[in-house]
Amino acid sequence: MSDIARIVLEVKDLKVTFRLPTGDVHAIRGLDLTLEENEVLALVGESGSGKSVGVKSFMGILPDNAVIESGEALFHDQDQTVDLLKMKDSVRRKNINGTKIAIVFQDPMTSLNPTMSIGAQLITVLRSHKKIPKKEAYARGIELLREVGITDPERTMGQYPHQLSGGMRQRVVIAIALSQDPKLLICDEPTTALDVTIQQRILELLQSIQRARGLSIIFITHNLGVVSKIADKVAVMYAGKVIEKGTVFDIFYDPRHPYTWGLLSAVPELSDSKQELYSIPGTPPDLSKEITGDAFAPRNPYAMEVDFKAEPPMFKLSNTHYAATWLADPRAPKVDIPPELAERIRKMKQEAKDYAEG
Amino acid sequence: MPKVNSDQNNDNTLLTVNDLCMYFDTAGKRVKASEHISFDIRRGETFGLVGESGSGKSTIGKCIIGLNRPTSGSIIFEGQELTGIKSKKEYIEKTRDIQMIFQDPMSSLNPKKQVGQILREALAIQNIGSSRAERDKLVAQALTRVGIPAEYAGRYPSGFSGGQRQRIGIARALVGNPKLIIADECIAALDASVQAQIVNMLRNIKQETGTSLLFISHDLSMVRFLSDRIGVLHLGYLLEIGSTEEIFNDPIHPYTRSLLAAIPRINPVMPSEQTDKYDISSAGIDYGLGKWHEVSASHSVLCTDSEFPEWTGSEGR
Repeated sequence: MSDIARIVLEVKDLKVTFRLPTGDVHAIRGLDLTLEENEVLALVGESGSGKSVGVKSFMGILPDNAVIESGEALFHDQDQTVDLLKMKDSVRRKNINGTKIAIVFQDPMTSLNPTMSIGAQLITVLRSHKKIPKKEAYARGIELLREVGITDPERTMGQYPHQLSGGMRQRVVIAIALSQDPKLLICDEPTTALDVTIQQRILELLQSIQRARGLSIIFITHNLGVVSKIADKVAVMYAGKVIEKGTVFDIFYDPRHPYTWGLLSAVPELSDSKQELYSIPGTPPDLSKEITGDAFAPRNPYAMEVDFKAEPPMFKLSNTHYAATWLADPRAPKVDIPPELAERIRKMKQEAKDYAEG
Repeated sequence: MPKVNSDQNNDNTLLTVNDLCMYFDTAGKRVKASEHISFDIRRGETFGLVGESGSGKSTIGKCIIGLNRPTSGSIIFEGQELTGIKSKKEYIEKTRDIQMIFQDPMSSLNPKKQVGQILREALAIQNIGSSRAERDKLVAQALTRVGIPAEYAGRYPSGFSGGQRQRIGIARALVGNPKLIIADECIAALDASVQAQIVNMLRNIKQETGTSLLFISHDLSMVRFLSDRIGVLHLGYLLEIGSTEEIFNDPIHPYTRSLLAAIPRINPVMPSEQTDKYDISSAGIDYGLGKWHEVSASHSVLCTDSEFPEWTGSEGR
């Protein structure tokens, strides 16, 4: 049973549809995710791939026109297992959201109350689930601000969000998220609105907090540089499904799905090369229409006949690495990874080797 | 007055920004958004301005296009002084050959107007084309150039994706065949793959039309890809200016170095370089004391006489 005990969250065959006046949009078309304890899982993909919708559905914060068609989201906490999708909103708000699972959004300005001081916001949150004396809440607030790397917490407690820089605000948001000692932290593009130097510091902060507290993190981002820095595991999403998943090494050193190849190739290289940047041809599929076969097939230069007819299953490539592409089928002809990407991976590995050797 | 490799007598110079200061007075507090900024842009060149938010990147673009009125300094476009022009009409007249691409393709296109109308309007403001037929032809050309089929001119912005809307925003900037395009964070709101499409397109357009581009961005890898020369901004000061190769291969200013080191490397094994943490208060650098020091004919850095040998000397590099 030790295997099961280590799993924090299991999402199985989740399907979410948005009811729009123009028709139904199938935003999530069968999402499977597994998150282990003490693990950072990155969800990557283009906008519209369902990264945020997937997470919002088990947090119970989907808009009113969204319908969960099927699936379960099992959350394991100590000896208890609950299905987050079947839970009443009131129960979830009391027992899960903010306490067991906390979320950090992209824009710290909209997640903080502009009319309340940082201290007032922290104290409110700290006293919302358990009635502790104000003084104790204040002391705890100072402690939390210190934990997120704010050097003068007493001063920050008295300040308002607009008086803080973007990086400081995001630190405060993280402090609030940590206030109830959650087991799972969801970060939805938490550094996208920040500059590179600040981004780096926030990532380092999240990493050190994750290690110190043994948190599990779901990290939603479209920035592969950020993914390679923070993630243990990666799930690549396309058109409402996971199409490849594995350890960060599986995905960056041995990607198998042509969409993952495209994503990796589209990252501009910091070398002298001035050749055309790679971009994935075409646009993501219209999710209001029926999709036959592999949703990526129309944009896939390696698509075979079968890709337009049947949806590929998730092929197991190793104990950690899975990909939903017919190329992984033993009957498929051997297709080599694009030479430019192969060269990049060779360089990455060489760099890693040089680094390891000092 | 700082002097940044500006060869004003050279015919090749399209735009010169000289000692530009832009201060905003708000609620009894003076915000210094731009401090003594000087650079020039040559014909057919892409000049990249990088810096974090709040560094004053956008302010400079807005000063050039006339959305901000500089506190002091001069902006010379095509040999004509732009600062000090009182009448709005005259300013528009003189900056007709400068166009702008904005960050958010959702809010920068009028949702109630067809794409064709939006582009024709740009032509009308610039006084280009005498007949509707002529303008329609230019609109069709501009749309085709950015990869939008010309027959979509009758559609409304809501009928396009974010990437397509940004293409339309670029078509609007291009339609009058300007000499300078200011692109202010024009890819920040787009997905990585769409970013690559737009950036490739900008580079092709620049090569085909010979337009100069002022590319304002915080994304260093994109700035590197597009720019011929780069200026690095921090807290309103231009700290370093040089060719793309010089900035990336031989950065001098500690801030430039920290910026380059902070770019996340696409490699799970490599930690990002942590040695170059930069903090203005602990670095003990007062930008206001700096003077321009030449590293090479095309590469300059803002620093004091004692900082220069320290940063360029063997111990600093």
